Amino acid sequence: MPPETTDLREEYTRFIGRKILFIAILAVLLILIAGIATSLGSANIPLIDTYAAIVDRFLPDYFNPSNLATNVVWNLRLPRILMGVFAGIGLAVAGSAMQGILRNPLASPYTLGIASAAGFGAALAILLGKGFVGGEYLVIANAFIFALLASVVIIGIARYKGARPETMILAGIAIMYFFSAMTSLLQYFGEADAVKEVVFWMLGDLDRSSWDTLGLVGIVLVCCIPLLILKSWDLNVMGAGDETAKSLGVQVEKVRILSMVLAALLTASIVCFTGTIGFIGLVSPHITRMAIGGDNRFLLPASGIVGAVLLVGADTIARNIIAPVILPVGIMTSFIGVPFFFYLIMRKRREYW
Amino acid sequence: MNVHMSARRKVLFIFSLLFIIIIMAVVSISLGAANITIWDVCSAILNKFFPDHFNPSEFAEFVVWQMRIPRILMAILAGIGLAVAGTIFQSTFRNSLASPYTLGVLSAAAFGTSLATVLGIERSMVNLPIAIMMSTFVALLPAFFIYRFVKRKASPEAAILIGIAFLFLFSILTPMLLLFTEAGVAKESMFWMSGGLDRASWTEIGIVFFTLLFCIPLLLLKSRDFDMIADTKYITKEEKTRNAGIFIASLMSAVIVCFTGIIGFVGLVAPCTTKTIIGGEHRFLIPASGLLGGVLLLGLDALARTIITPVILPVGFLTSLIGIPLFIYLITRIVIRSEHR
Repeated sequence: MPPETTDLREEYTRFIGRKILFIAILAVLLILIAGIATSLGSANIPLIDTYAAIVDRFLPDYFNPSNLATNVVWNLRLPRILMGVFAGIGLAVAGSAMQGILRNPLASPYTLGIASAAGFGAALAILLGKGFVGGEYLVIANAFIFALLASVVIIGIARYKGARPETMILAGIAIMYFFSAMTSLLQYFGEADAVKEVVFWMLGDLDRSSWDTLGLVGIVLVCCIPLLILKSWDLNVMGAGDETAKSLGVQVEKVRILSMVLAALLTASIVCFTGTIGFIGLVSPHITRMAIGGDNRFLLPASGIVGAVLLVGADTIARNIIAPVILPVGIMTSFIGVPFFFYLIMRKRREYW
Repeated sequence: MNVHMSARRKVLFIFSLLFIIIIMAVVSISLGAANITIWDVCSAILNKFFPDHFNPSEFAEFVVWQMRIPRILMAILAGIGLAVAGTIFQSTFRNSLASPYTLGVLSAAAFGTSLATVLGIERSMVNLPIAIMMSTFVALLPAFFIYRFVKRKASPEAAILIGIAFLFLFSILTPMLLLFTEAGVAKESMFWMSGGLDRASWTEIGIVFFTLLFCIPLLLLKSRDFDMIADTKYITKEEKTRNAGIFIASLMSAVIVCFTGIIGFVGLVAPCTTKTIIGGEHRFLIPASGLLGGVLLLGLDALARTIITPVILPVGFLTSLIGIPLFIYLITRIVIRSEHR
C-alpha cells in the first residue's frame, strides 16, 4: 500500500474521530445540564442529592437520598426534564432531516407549518372526544395526519424548480398561521380545558409531561431516528442535487417522502404533548453544522443532542427567570430562534452549508 | 397588470363600493344581541339629523348611537386605513405579498402601544398622542429596515420573510411586556394578537378619522408618482415619495393598531383584489381598495359578531382565514411565474 493512502486513511479516521468526540462531549454536557435543571426549582435540592436520587433507582444500596429528594426528582422534575430532552432531540432531528431533504437552510418543523398543523390535529382530536378510540393514540394519529397534510403541501412546492428556499418557507409560515388561527377558533367551540389553553398550543410548554407520555414519545423516537440515520448517506448525496443523487443510484423521491414522513411523525408525537415549541428544529442543526460540518451521519445525532441541550436549558431559564411565574418555554426558544432566523435570511446568499 | 377598464367604469366601481358600504353598515347596525330592526336603526340615525319626523324608541337610539355605530365606524375606518396602507406598501416595495401585517408593521405598532401602557401612559386625551407617537415610531422600524434590505436587491420573498421575522419578534415581546402590567395578561395579549373592535369610542374614531383625512389625500396627490414607482418597467429614483409613502402608510397602520389591535391580512386582500379588478392606476386604486377594505372588515365583523351568537369572535381570526389562502395562492403564483422565466 503506498504511503499516501495510509496518510489519507489516518486523516479520515482523525476527521471522523473529532466528530465522534464532539458528540461524546455533547452527551456529557447534556447529562450535566439535565442534572442541574433537575436540581433547580421551588423545593431546594442540591445537585448531589439529585444525582443520588437518580442513581439510587438503579443501584439501590450505595446512596441514601432523602425521601423528599427522591419524590420530587422522580415524580415532579424528571418527567419534565426528560420530555425536554426527548422533544429537543426529536425536533432537532426532524429539523435537520427537513433541511437536508428540501435543501433549505430555513426549514424546520415550525417554519414549515408542520408543527402547527400537528397541533391543530391534536387539539381537534381532544375536542372531538378523547377516549373515542384509544385515548392518546387517537390524538397522536390525528396530529400525524395533519402533519402529513402540511408536509404534502411543502413537498409539492419543493417539486417546482422555481421555488426559492424563501418561497417555500413563506408557504410554510402561511400554513402555520392558518392552522394556528384554526386552533384559536377551536377554543370557542370547545368545552375541554385542554383546548382552551390556546397559549399551550401556540407557545409550547413542558408542564404536561408524565411518565406515560414520555414512554409514547420515547417509542416514536426510537423507531424513527435510527431509520433517518440509516438514510443519511442518501441525504448526503441528495445535498449535491437531485440529478447527481439519481445518477449515483439514490431513489430520490422515495427517500424524500420516507424521510419527510418520519420527520412529520416525530414532530406530531412531540407536539401532542408539548405544543408547538418553535425554532429548536431550526437553530440546532445550524449550530451543529457550524461545529462539525454537514455530514448527515453525524449531523443528525449531534444536532439531536444540541437540540436537547438547548431545550432543557431554555426550559430551566423559563422556570427560574421570574421565579414564581413559569414562562412557556416557547417564548424562550423564540428568543434564541428569532435573531437566528433574521441572521439566516439576511446572510449573503453564499452556499448555506 | 393589464386591465383595460375605462375611467368611467372605475369611478362607477368606486361609487358602487360606497353604496355597498352604506347598505352593509345599516344592516350590520341592526345585527346584535339586542333585537333592533333595520327600520329602528334608520329612524334612530335620521332622528339625530331631523329631530321631529321620526320617533325611535329611546332604547333603540341608545343602542344604535352608543354601542353599534362606534363599532361599525371603526370597522369601516380601520378597513380603509389598512387597505390603503397595504396598497402603498405593495407599490413602494413592488411586492404583491407586502401588507402592514406581513411586513411586521402592525405587530411593531402593537408593541409600541403596549410599551406606552407599561410605561404608565394612561389612555387619556392628553397622553393619547404620546402613545400614538410611540407606536408609530416602533412601526417605522420594520418598514424602513426592510426597505433598506430590498434596496440591496433582495428577493421579494426574502423581504417578506424579514417582515415575518419582525412579526415573530414583536409577538413574543408584547406578551413579555404585558407580564409586567397588572391587568389580565392573557386577555390583553389576546386583544393585541387577534384584533377587536370592542373598544371603539367616539374620541378614538375621531382620531382615526382625522388621521385618514390627513393621510389619504396626501397619497392621492402623489398618485402619479406611485404609478411610476409601482411599475417595474421604470427605474425611478422617486426616493422622496417612496420614503413619504412608507412613512404615511406606517403612520396610518400604527394609529389604527392603537385602537383595534392587530387585524391582519385586510391590507393584503383588499389591494390584491382591487388591482385585479380595476388595475394599478393609483388615482382609482387607492380609494377603491380603501373602500373594499372597509366593506371587507365591516362584513367580517358582522360575521364575527353573529356566527356563534353570544360569543364575539375576534375579527382578526376571520380576516386571517380569508387572507391566508390568498397569501398561499400569491406565493404559488410567484413560484409558477419564476418557473416559466
